[in-house]
Amino acid sequence: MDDVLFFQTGFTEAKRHLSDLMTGVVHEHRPVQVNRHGEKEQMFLLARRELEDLLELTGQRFETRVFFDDGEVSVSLPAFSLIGAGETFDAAVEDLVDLLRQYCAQYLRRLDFYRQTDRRALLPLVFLFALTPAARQGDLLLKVPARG
Amino acid sequence: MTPKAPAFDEIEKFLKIDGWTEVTGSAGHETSHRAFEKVLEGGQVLTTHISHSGGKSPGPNRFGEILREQLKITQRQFWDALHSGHAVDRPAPVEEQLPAPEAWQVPILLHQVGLSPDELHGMSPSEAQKVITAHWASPPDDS
Repeated sequence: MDDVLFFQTGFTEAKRHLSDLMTGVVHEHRPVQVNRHGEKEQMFLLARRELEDLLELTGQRFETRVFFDDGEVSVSLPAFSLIGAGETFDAAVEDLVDLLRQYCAQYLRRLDFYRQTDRRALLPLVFLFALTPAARQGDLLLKVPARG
Repeated sequence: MTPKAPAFDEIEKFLKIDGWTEVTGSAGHETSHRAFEKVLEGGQVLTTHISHSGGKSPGPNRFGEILREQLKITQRQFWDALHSGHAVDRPAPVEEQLPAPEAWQVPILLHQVGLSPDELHGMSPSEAQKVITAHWASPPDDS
């Protein structure tokens, strides 16, 4: 039995047929493994939709906790150690989205560092947040969990 | 126990004493907060962020969450480090997490069920879920 499950191509071949390759990945939903130096270096090409499905199917979600102080509301995201705050609940959520945006940008810039730490576990949620349009990022924090 | 909250200036002073590093943002990107990190042995990364308004203080409940989820120390260790100028010995114990509702539950509890923020204080997600379920199961009020 062939142990190669993904469609594979070499780097030079991929460069030569990049347009066709992208059409296959995006329109035919066919992920591709691109190899360089034999199979020493590997890269995967995946359509955005498949990546979004993968992240959604991990079942991970943004678990939050809300605290009330005199004239201040805080929304905490313990997994990320982030706490948004504001005079109202909506302002606190907005602040948390802003913090999360800064954090995810930092995380993706320093991925090589974070993947060697306990923060590696945040990767699916960072990708999910980064892939979500800015106007809908706040909805991720207010998403009702699926009943299981 | 509700902690006494310091000003953000004092939190920044603590971070310097405790050996945290400021994480700089990308060039030209305005940030609403300053972020700090501390990497512990074993690869655990601690993260915190402070307001640009250094003289302001977080509310006591928010400060409790900062201690538990960001600094990972007790309030006594925080003040001891601030007064002594010595970094905290880690791993350090953290205070027990207080029950708090999840963000998705809060608009429902406030605007549909009609509870006040005071009534939500200390409510666990499962208690909040029971209140929401009972509200949704009750017949609409025609009066």
